[in-house]
Amino acid sequence: MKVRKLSYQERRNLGKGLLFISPWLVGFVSFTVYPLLASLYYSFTRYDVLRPAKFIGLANYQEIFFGDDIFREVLGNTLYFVLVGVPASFLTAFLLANLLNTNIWGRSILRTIFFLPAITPAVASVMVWLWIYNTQYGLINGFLAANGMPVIPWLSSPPLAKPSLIIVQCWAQGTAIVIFLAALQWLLTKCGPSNATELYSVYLYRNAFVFFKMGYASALAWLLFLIIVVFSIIIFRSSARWVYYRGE
Amino acid sequence: MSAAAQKRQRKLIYWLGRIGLQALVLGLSIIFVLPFVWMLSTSFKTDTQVYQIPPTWVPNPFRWDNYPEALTYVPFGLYFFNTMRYCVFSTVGAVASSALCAYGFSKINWRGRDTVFFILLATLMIPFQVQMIPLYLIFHKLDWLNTYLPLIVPSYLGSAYFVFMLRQFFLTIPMELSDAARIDGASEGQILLHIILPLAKPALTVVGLFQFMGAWNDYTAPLIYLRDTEKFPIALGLQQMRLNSLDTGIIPLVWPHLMAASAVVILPVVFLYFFAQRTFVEGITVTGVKG
Repeated sequence: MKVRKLSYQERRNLGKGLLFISPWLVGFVSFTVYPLLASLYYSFTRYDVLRPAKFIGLANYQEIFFGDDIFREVLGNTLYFVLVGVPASFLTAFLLANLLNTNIWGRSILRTIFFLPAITPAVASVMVWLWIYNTQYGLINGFLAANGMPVIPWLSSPPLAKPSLIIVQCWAQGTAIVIFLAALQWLLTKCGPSNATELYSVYLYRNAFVFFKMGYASALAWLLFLIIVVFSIIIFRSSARWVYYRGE
Repeated sequence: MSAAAQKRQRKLIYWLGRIGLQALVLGLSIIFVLPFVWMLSTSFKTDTQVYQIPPTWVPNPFRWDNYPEALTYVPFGLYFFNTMRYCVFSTVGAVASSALCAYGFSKINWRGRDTVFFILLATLMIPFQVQMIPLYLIFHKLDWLNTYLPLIVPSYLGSAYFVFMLRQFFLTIPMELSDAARIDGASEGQILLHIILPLAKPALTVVGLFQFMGAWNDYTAPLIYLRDTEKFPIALGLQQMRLNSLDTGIIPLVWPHLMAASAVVILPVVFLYFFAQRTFVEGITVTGVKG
């Protein structure tokens, strides 16, 4: 392709266009591209912030794949929430939206009620659900115990912990799931079964800011990034078949 | 069967269906609102009522003191003010910068625009975790750690998601409007300010609300960048309160106080939602995006 010289008008427009998007350009270079490349570099190093980063080649990745049991567990947990929780919560939101589109009474107030959990700050709703799920005096177990039924250890039993969280995820209708789950995770660190619900992002955070293994955390981050890219490409490629975009 | 009887039967089926649907939606709405009711109910209970089995819904007596007490065990007023401050600043920044960028991506034709826009869309895939560590180190170098700058400044540089939302909206505004103004000698800045922005109010409101709620609810970024507890936002404050109550047991009425504090954290968002509900629903419809 031959590069045509831009006319005066075209150059003017290019200048104006770049001027308008300049905030994003600055942010893109300094807060996206640079961090991206820097973390790629750190992922090949051992770095504890106090001493300079030391290049160790692929050792971090080797450790992740062959020497890290927690990695496998948190990856499994995260996949579970993505593959089960996300569809479940979107299905809930979809059903509710359809119900609200029928000619029922009190539509506007019902809409508000159904939307409230979605806009409630995650930390607050997590707090409320912890109390609802409380094994001894929580809402559900309180009534079960009163009727002489056995209590359900919602969050403290490993096989039940994940479904219990999926229920909360459905209630919040998938809004800001990542934030929500991360908040949940923090709150559960003191009462939940240790690794049963630990999530990738939290494990990564702990490596970076609790153990100060910045290089290792960077490698974990890049793996996460690659997984997301692969998923996105699959969804993007297949979406042409099941999504209809209006306009343009 | 006579025609009249058939008609009656059809009508009966129709009404049964409607009542059934109504009951279903009503039942679901009760389930959805129950956690909030339980939160409010607990927030007014005394210690003995909290541990009553079966649980009671209506506190008797109402213990109003839970609220002032909960808000003084940890300095919630301060946390509230902290959050408000950086939420307002970052919301202003996000709306202004995203509108500027969206204009550049929709109303000016320049070479390579669509390629650059594709790159912008691609950045939506990047998880925060990948940037987290270098960003932390950058802010450390700039001496911004333990200040609100890392939470505010990036929002002034246009978020890809909001730029995308606003660009989609700007595209629905006829090009003729801006072209006519251009012929009349208006500068691009004037076109944006006097023609596009007034028309884009619902979309701008949605962006503002999303940013505000996002910042209000954000947990990870403040956790990474802020160290002193007196700088904490309200989300971290609530968690702090829970940890205090677990570690030291200094808070006697743990659950009522936690629920009272949670109610206070939820309140502003609910308030905002009620006031902006119409614009909100409108804006989500026009932009076709839900956050």
